[in-house]
Amino acid sequence: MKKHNYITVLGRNDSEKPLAQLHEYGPIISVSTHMHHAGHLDYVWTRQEKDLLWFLQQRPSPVECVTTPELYKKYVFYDQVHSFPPISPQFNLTLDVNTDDQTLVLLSALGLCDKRILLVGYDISNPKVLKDLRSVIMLHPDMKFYFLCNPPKTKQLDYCSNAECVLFKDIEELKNDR
Amino acid sequence: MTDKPLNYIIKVLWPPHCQNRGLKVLEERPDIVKEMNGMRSKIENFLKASCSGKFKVSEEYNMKGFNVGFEQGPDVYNFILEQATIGYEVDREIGRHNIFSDKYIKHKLLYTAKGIVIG
Repeated sequence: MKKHNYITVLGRNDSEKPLAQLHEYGPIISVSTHMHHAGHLDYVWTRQEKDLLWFLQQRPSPVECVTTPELYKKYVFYDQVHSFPPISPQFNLTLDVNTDDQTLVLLSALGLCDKRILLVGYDISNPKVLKDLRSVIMLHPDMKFYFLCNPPKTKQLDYCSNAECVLFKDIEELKNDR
Repeated sequence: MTDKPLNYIIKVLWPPHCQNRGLKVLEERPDIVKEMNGMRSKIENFLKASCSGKFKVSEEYNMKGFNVGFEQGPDVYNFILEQATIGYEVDREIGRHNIFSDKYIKHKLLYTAKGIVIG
């Protein structure tokens, strides 16, 4: 199965760009809090059963859901329900029940994409989320990460050679990089 | 993504007296081969009548049974439920395609009061 060149990871914050525009760059994978944009989402990570059912009931096409092993066992016969990708314990990235949803969305995105990841609305105010993000970036040197934000640009990812902070107003430039 | 593979793979077991037969035995026992081929045809006909999505009956010989691939979850669920009615038995294991690893992950099938789940 061919992997995507670009994938957009939609974090906990709202996107400054309409999701329809972001869709031009590739599929969108999101945390489960963007229910009102379900029509624009291709994949959703959720650990809540009620959210899972809500996304599965969307018409005309249900959203592809990535979920916990417990829910996956129950909904294995739903074609749109997927289990979390197998991850080998590496680096200082510890995955447990307290791991933030954004980190899990990012890890799912890595399984679907082989070139570039756009991080949109990605909330890095939590130190653990930021630490996990840096770990993921450093674990995948062949992948390019673009952190989309409004001015000023964040310096938090400056020492990651494969990560770049891009302003929303400059997002068009990424199209030339495809 | 393109070339979507079948999502589910399940093994249908041969009747007990047809299982674990070597090729030499099968050469000497055309009656068993006929029964196995008949069963495969019967299953294929049932799938044609009951499946709403794509399915594929494997042509590969296996001493235990033969694989059937399904595109849609409700089809495979129904296929498991209809075992007793149609007269076949499926292995207690199901392979589900994982979109991340692009591989089939095997799971144990569990029959519970609330329905069929995996272990």
